[in-house]
Amino acid sequence: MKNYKSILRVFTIMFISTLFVACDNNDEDDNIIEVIAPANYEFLRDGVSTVSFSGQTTRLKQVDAIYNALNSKADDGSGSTKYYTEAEIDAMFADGEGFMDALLNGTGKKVRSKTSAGCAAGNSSTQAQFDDQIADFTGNVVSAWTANASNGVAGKLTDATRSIHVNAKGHEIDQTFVKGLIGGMCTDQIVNNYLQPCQLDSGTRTDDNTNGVLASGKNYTDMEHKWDEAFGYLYGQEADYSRSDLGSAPTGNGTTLNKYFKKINDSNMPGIAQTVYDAFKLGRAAIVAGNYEVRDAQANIIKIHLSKVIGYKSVDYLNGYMSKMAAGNTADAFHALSEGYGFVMSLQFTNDGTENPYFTKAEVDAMLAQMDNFWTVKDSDLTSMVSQIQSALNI
Amino acid sequence: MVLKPLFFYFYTMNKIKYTLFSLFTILLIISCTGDSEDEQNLVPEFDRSLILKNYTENIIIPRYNDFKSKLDGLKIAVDNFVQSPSSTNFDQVHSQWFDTYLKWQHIEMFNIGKAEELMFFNTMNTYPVDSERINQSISSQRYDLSNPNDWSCQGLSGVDYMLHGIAETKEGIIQKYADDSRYGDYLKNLLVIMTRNTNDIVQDWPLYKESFIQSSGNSNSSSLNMLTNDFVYYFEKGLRANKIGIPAGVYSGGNSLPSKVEAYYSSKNSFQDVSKDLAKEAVIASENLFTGTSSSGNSGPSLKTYLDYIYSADVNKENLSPIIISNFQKAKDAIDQLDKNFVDQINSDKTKMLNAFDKLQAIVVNMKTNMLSILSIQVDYIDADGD
Repeated sequence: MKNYKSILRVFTIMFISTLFVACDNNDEDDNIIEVIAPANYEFLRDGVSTVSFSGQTTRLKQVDAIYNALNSKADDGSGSTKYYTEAEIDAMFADGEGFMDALLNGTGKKVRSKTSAGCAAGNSSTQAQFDDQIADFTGNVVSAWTANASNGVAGKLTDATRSIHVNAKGHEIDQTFVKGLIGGMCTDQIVNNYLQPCQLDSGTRTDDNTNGVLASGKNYTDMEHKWDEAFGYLYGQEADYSRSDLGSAPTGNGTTLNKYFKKINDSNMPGIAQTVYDAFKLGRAAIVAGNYEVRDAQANIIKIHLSKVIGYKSVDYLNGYMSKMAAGNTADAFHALSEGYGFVMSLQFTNDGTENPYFTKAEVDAMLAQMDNFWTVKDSDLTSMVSQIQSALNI
Repeated sequence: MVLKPLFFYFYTMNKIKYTLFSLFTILLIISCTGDSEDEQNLVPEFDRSLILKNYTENIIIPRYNDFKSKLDGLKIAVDNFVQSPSSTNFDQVHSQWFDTYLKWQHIEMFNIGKAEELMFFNTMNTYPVDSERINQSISSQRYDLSNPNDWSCQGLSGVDYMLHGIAETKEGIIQKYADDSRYGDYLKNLLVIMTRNTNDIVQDWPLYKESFIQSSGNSNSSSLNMLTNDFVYYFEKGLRANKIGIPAGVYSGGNSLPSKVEAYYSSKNSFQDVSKDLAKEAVIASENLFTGTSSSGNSGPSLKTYLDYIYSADVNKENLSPIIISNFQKAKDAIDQLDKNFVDQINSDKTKMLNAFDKLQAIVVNMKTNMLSILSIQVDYIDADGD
């Protein structure tokens, strides 16, 4: 009974304080523009959609193609063997040219220039790490495509579950590269670029948006478009971005962020997809309404949650490596650690909502150095990374 | 994969619910302790060793013997062909290879004992083959194929490449054997390895048989649990995914990968359209194992009769075996709809392949989720992430 009373008291206090908060809001009613999110991610001006992110879709497809090329497969996804040179993959990565799918060429859209290139915290030395992976693959892995891999020797590695092609340190480069881009391009472009004031509010964008001044020749304001570009890095390969169940059921299409976003929503953190989707929707509605506080609050929700996707996958794959090694499946374990390596690399592109990454570039580079040689990596080091990541991201 | 709904159910609960649920489960376990004792007394009334005995004596050992005799025939045909690479001798090898491949479909699921120790199914039927590595081994005369990287360079799939893939026409292929003895040496070596491993396994079964049958308990290491797990794993991976799902693009974002069909080169270079026959045979073999049916058509104690027994003891339980039988029929019907050449089928209309995949998937769910649960057999493998 005593407990009951104290619980009741707590609730009463909570209720009263809620009332106060609510009253506060009412007091400021004349300053606040109410924001109501629409049911779906669809925004119209004069009956015409203002949503556009085709450039993001193109880049995500370019990454899918590069992923194939980094596994000596034709980049059109046909599965046939094709060996690429460094110059060919560089052209795809840096120039947006040379893809088998002609629609991906000559668009002016390039992956490399959007890698580790957020307006808040870009870093060109990280871009070079991706270049190095391409060079390592074409220079060392391709030439040893059918040779046996071992410590210090690039080649092929097979166990009862899979065959992989690795560099001299055991890295499967299609994995390290693309998982690195999940942070380095997708997440970075969202959380450290398009959701940032340095994009949204740059120049006259705030005033233009408030006053309904449209981008030249477009049906959207610059700020609306920047927000949609962020949206596109996550949802750019969804066939229908305005469907009503996009929040609860992302398809996981493609090889990048959406794929793992879906996996986390299906496993570690059910509901995360809805949370992120709702924040995108409400934030975009806030831009339409000119309410920038609501916009920024939604941006923070997105930053923190997408960062968790990277945290969870880093942890999953480091743990996966250890359990697969324990089961005697070296190739499967190296495959997992290659994914883990890429996700750990991606940690420097997270954002904790205070504009700081959960791990700095220096911290990430130190972790990558510790796991550099997969043939000799220590479980104790990986275990300690796992707990650091879990505690930093509170997962 | 199949366990997903279960995982989803757990994970969708928030932590509080989960805690409550755990508490509830603990209470349940405490309150049900008496009941589960009863069940333990009930289930052993069905003598699991009878299934093991039927499977071993009427299916596994005879099927292995069938396979061995076809494989021995293939070896003789290969030796003849390499000795004198004529068109007639080539046809002999080809038809022996196909017969052997059909018999193989009846034993691939028995990854047990000596077979497991020898990584038998990896060495016999890993595809797609690594044609580049085979070519290198041929030219460098490398015959030690014990590295796992060589699994995709040997076995029945390796022979497919050696017979149908080293050139695009029969004349071109025969010419290679006539011109360069290294091709024949590599092919003969494949048969040496295949027959050696097969003999080891065939000789081991009579020795292994008694202890295999007597291990009739219900632990992860007891025979029926291992055999059932191997069977379900084979059905999910070796049959559903490898033969149908992967080439039809189920695991590659819808991009079909026709070069990943079983016995690809025979189909690709129009020697014989075999993919459908092999897949259909594999489904029949799986159904036979489920129903305990031997090659003569007689059936005995099996997973099916075990399910029937449990249902007869408690009609509140699901009557699963008629569902599985009916789903096997649907799967066979769906495969009958396919072109004899899966490369052609995938290129012309892959929806029929996807339909066959769905029918096989239904059986995976029946067996892996429902059957294993009814029989209280724990799943001993984890699904690959699929990427």
